Amino acid sequence: MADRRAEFDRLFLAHAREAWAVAYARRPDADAAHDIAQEAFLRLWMAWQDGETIRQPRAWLLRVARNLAEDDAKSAFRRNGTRPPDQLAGLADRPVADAVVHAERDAALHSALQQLSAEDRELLALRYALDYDTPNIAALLDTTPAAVLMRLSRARQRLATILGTEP
Amino acid sequence: MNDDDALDRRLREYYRERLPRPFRSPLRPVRRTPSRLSLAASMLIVTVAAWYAATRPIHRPESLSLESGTATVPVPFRR
Repeated sequence: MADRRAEFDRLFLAHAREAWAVAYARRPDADAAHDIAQEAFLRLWMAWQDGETIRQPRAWLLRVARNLAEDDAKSAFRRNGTRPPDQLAGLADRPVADAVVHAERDAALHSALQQLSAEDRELLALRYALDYDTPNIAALLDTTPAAVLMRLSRARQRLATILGTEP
Repeated sequence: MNDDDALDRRLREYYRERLPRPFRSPLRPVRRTPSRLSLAASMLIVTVAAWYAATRPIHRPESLSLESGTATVPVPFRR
């Protein structure tokens, strides 16, 4: 039991941010994505308690986080009619005039990101939120570094195009 | 400024402001009720502290002691 708890804590320290990144790519609300990441880990714990054998806990966790986030995004859409932009984060730390400019730019980027696919957003979150290098992302997504570089480049191009065409 | 660098910076800032810090584990440490031993140790510490406070000698500066005869008495101003 103590071993399981230690293993759980180790996995949580190593992969909680990844779970958040894949959840945030599908449910663009930082707090909701945090809850989803926690829920994925809780399900891992419950699965262990039920005696399930999970051979690849990291891949299992990320798959659960993706599924939970997709479900949550659908129910949030049903509840709110739209996905509320996550623009208030970090504003309290800035002077008012600066905060207004920042909020506008932030909202534009948030909105542009929502026009990309979930796969593109996931890639960008792994690169820019977690600062993962290409081989690390490739290992996580079970693909090659060359494919990651190409997909990243295209995702950035699409994002730049959307941002460039916005008023 | 290079457009690529600007977009990189913008993306990093965007995610930095959102990434939760710290991440809270769903299995938080359980808050335990104190054991009998730690309760007894706390009681002992409090009792010793109270006893020391009640019995320690009160420090009186010698210059104010009436018995010592060394008190400095200010001389009143006279016209």
